[in-house]
Amino acid sequence: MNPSTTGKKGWLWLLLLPFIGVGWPGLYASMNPELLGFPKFYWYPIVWIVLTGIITWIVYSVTSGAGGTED
Amino acid sequence: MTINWTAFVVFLLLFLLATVVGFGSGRWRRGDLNLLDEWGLGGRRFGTLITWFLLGGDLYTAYTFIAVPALVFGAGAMGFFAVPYTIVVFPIMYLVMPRLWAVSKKNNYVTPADFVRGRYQSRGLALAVAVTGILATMPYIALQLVGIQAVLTVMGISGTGILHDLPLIIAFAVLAIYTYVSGLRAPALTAIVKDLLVYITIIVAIFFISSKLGGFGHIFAVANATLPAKKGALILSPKLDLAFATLAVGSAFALLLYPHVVTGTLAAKSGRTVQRNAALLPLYSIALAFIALLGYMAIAAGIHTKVTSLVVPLLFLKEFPAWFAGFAFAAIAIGALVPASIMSIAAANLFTRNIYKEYFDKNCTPKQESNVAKIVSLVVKAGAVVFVLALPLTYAINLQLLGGLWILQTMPSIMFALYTRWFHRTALLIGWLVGMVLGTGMAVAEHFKSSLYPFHLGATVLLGYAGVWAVVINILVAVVLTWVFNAMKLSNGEDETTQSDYQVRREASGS
Repeated sequence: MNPSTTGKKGWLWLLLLPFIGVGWPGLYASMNPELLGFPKFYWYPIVWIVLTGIITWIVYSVTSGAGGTED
Repeated sequence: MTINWTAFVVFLLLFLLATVVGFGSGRWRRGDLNLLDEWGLGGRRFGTLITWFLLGGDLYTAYTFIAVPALVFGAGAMGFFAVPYTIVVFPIMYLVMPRLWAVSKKNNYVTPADFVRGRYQSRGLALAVAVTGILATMPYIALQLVGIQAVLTVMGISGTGILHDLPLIIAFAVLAIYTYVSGLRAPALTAIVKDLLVYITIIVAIFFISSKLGGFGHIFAVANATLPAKKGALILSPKLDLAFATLAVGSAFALLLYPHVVTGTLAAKSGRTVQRNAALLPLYSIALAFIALLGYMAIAAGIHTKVTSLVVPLLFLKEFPAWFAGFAFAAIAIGALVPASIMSIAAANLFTRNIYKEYFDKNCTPKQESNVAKIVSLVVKAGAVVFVLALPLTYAINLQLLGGLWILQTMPSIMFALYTRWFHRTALLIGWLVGMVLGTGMAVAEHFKSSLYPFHLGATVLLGYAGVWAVVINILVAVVLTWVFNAMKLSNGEDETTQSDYQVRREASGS
């Protein structure tokens, strides 16, 4: 394993963020603040759907650089 | 109830369109459909977009459209676990599924059980994985029928005797024939029709129904006032945190272990295609979040029904003009056909590769192999129809609940094995058996009322997803027995895969 692939593997830790974000409902199970009429319990995970797509795309893009293989 | 002709005609036309696409799809990127790799995996050639539609059709089924809002309608916040569930599934998918794709491509594996057999040289473990997959898939197919039945009912298509069942039988017969003829290409292309209908329906529902009902603020307020009477709540109670979290994370792991999801993944043309899809599929989860909220719209619209599968169809019928209700009903029905088709193909692949070829006809030719799979796909669907028509609905729902719990027990044998061969094959098999028995026992002890089980740990009671409790015990048993069997120097078989088989390779430029 060369240093460049090792460095890239570090980006995979980003994939833990969605678990931290929505894994435990106690973090967001509340009414306020509301957004566009949605209680926090409903808008907050929806925001995380978008963030998860972005995070996963970043990980995908970063690992597509040089280096013959990656996993 | 009289027949709603406007809705029914629109519904029928769109259903016909999907049927034409299904039959025509066999010609698309033509391959030799006498090979299981072509019939059952579409030649492993699907690019990013087709894979997106196929997996979208796979993960978000008609049953989801019916069951998730029904749960939100009845219980409130707890039903919204479906959203974090369909969030955390994608990081897991990004890590695990490209590895499964790579090792399967390299070694010509068609099913997850093929992989387990190759990795551990264990027919027993492969059989356990195959049987679990088939058992978990069957009730799932049956439940897709419930979606079709629900929309037919609200359109007033409900004769007596054989006339009552005929429309459902015709719909599934059509599906069975085009799946038989075109293989996995059929759901891949009908999924495009399905998704167009679903996305249009949802966007219209978000804006049209919510404004008709006085906006989301008002919808949530009505739900908040009504839910306590149903023993539900708009905001999750802290007492249910663990239940919600284990359901979300446990379901996410379970989903990726289902044979139909593996089939959809293996049909992609590269591991990178699967990774790209893990980033793009969350778009469906946004649709799902709003589909879940249809449950609250139904509360605000004053829908009353004891049959929970009718909540969404009744809402559409009440709030949409008849022609657009027909459009939305077609979205649900075609949304049932796509996953039912993939599921029957996945079950057929498992039976053919891991039971028929393994135990009955070791030397069967590739053509015989694909013929067996095609016939099994017909049998599986016929079985699902009989199941739904002959038995009370609760049987299918209970078995589907068990199915998710069962499939999760294959996690150590499949997912862990993609990363390590540390576990002993016999330890995995015994862990699986313990998980299956305990998980089933927990569901039975709770009378199938929910997927939750109060786990007693000393004085504390942990209310969580029974499947998660079962798989934790399953893993513990596998770890301990691995130590024991290694100490006894019991053979752990040969591994026919190598480290490099699992690597997700960079694609040649231009693709």
